[in-house]
Order: sequence, then C-alpha cells, then structure tokens
Amino acid sequence: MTHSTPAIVRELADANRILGHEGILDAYGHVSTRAPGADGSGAFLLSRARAPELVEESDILEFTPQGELVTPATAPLYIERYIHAAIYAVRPDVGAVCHSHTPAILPFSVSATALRSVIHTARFIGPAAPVWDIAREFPGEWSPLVRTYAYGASLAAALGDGAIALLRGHGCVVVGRTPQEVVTRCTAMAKNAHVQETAHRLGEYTPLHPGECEDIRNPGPPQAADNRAWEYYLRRAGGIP
Amino acid sequence: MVDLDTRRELVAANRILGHEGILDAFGHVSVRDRDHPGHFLLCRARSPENVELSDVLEFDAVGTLIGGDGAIPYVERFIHAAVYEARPEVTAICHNHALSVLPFSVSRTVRLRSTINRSLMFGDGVPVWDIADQFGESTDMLVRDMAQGRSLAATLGPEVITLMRGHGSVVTATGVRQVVTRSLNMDLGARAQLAVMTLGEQRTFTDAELRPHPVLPAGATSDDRDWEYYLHRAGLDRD
Repeated sequence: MTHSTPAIVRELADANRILGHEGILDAYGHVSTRAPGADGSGAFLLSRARAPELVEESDILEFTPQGELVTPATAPLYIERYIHAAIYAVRPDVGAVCHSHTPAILPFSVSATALRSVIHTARFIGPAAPVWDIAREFPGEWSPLVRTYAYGASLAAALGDGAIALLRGHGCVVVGRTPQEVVTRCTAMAKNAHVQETAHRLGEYTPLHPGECEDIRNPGPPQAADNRAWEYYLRRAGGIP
Repeated sequence: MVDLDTRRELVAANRILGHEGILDAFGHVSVRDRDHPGHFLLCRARSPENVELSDVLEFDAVGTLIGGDGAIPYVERFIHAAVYEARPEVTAICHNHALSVLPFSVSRTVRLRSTINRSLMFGDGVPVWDIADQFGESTDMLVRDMAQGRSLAATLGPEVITLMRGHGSVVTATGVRQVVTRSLNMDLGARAQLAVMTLGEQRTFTDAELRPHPVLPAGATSDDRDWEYYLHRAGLDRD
C-alpha cells in the first residue's frame, strides 16, 4: 500500500459499498482501480475477498500487473482478480473495473438477444454487448471462474475497445476511467437491462441508434454527471451523513 | 423574486420524487416564476433527493441562468423553458427517467395509455418525442438548446405528459403539488399497464371510454392530501 493515497483507497471502498447497496453487486463481485503512481504498469488496488458492501479501507490491497499481491499477506483473495489484471494490461484508458453478477443482465449473458443501449444513460453499452464464453475459448477445460491470467486475457480480448462485456452464464465486466464513471455505468446498465427486457416482452422496440451510443475510444471530458450521481449514491449508502 | 414558500415547496417536491424513486440521480422539477413571465426556478445540477434551499436558481424564458454565483445548471433546463413558453397554464414541470415508463418510450408495439382512474391523464395514448426525428441519429439524446426543447414541447401539445424515446418523460401541472401527484400517478399507471399485460385477457378501458379524455370529478383527488402524506414519508414534516 506504499503507493496508495488515502483518497483513492477511500474512493474504492466507497465504490464497493455503493455498488453493494444498489444491488449491482451482492455477496460476490468486486471493483478495482489502478494503483496511483504505477505509471500504467498495470498495478491495481482491490479488496481482500469480502462482500463489497462490507469492504473497508483496511481491506484494500495492492496487486501486481500479474494479479498477485505486492506485499505477501494471509488474507483470502478474490480468485477472479485476473479479470482486473488482464484488462489493465491492455486498456491504458481504463482506470477502474467492476466484475458483477447483476441479476438484470444475467439473462442477456445466455440469450441470443444481445444487451444493447436502449436508454441514454447507458449509451456506453453500444449496439451489442459482447458475450465471452469460456467454454468456446478454452475447449475441454471449462471453468465457471476466471481463475487464471490466461482466462482473464481472453476475456479482455472479448471486451476489446468497449466498456462492457458479458460472461456467459456468469455476469459481466464494466470498465471506466474512474470509480465514479464505473459506478454510474453499472447503475445505468442494470436499468437498461430492465428496460430492454420489458420492452422486448411488449414487442418491437427502438434501441439507440449507433450514432447515439458513446464512442468509448474517444470519450469526452469527464462527466460532471458522474460526480452528481456519486454524491447521490454515496448518501444512499450512508457514506454522507 | 419568488417567495420563500414556493422555493421550499420546490425543494420538497424534488426530495419527495427522489425519495419515492420517480427521480434517481438524475431528473429535475421546476416551478414558474409568476412575477416574471416565462421565468422559472430550477435547482443547480444536483440529484433531486439531495437539493437544498440554497440550490434553487432562477432562469429566464430561454433557459439562461440569472445570477447563480457560478452554480452549474442542469444541461436540460431547456425542457422547462420551452414547455413554459408553449403552455401558459403550466406552472410546474417534472423531467424524469422513471423506470416504469421507459419501456413505453422505446416500444413500437404498445403505447402508454390509461389503465386505472389515477392514470386517466394518459388518455388513449401518451405521445412519444423522438429526438432523432428532427435532430438526427447522432445526438447524445440530451435536450441541449431551445430548438430541441421547442420540438419536445410541440410533441407534448396540449397533453399532460410526453415520453422521450429512450430517455424519460415530461410531466406538466398547474402547481408544484400537482406535479408531484401526477408524477407518482404516472408511475402507478405505467406499472399497472405492464402488469395487466401478463395476466391474459384484459378488461381495461376501451378507446371509446378514453375519448375525449375523461377526468376525475373535482374533489376526487387532493394534491394537498398527497402532499402531506409524501412529505411525511420523505421525513420532511419533522424539521
């Protein structure tokens, strides 16, 4: 933790609590941020293995670009920390990563109907969220968990230049520049999935046009709206008196 | 200068609709400034449930901030400016992303329409404004200027509510308390309509029953009764 400033550790603990409180994460799932001062090396901060809503600042640990502890400790770790390591390695634009099992998106991870942007707050999803299928990528060694760096790298390749990828029968990963952006995106993702599923049941529907979706590779300036949402969600999670 | 009671009521309306989940991190409520034609009050860009009296700002008839001491306004203040311009009788407006109405904003199969007496304001079909119709398929879908606001107001026409494709809705009223009641009834009506569609055969209101829009008799509902109730739920009656 020698490189970590208290502010980013606090923010990451808050992001964990917010996403837990909003039901984006439950007992499982995790959110990380790039380690400050790591200069793009891929080192990152992530909690020890604990339900996100319960994470405290003292639970935050620093990991190497390969996804191993910087300072050996006895704390149990998330098996799937390689998701984070592999994404930071290939996406210099990404500053925060969330892996979740959000109920609203799970049906889309096993459906032929792609999760896509239908509401404007979820412009980041795009015309079709990719679905990564570990069974297809690694024939004969199917695993329910992303438990190696190689699996993580394969998932990162499926994510490509996007902001979200689904994991078949498992969950998703959402990336952003900051913990604030990831929190905004995750909450919008769940709403988008609910709206899309409901509209689908009603019949034909109009999704966002491709040009209305966010160009993840050419993002605008950081959105003031992310800070507005952060204040809102942090207060709901009890983080602001 | 709008009196303090109106400002307090506006703050309470924001907080109530946030507390009830009609508004989330986003969305906003405004009230007309009766002393300055076209002018209105709207909070600085802050989540509705968090707004305070000191966040209330004044805007002119084309959505320009008056004073404000460097406060950042909502990008979509032009929704309010344009609707007040087009609808002289409207004195309060709520723009929201209520989850229950969003599916109807994108559906090409089903229109949001009245299913229960409290959603009679939907009539036989709520209009849907699609920003792409006039402004192309490459916008970020936000109402960023008066031209877009006026286009939205034209789709609203004389109705109480219009949906915005893939975005949310605009609810109009003749008072802050009424805009709260109507926004809540909008949510109730949308949820009832969605639910009845899963139950099989319907006996919902026919087109003939809904043309012209029937209205509840005076006194059938009370915005004041609602107001007291929702103030209480939001903890705003216990200062």
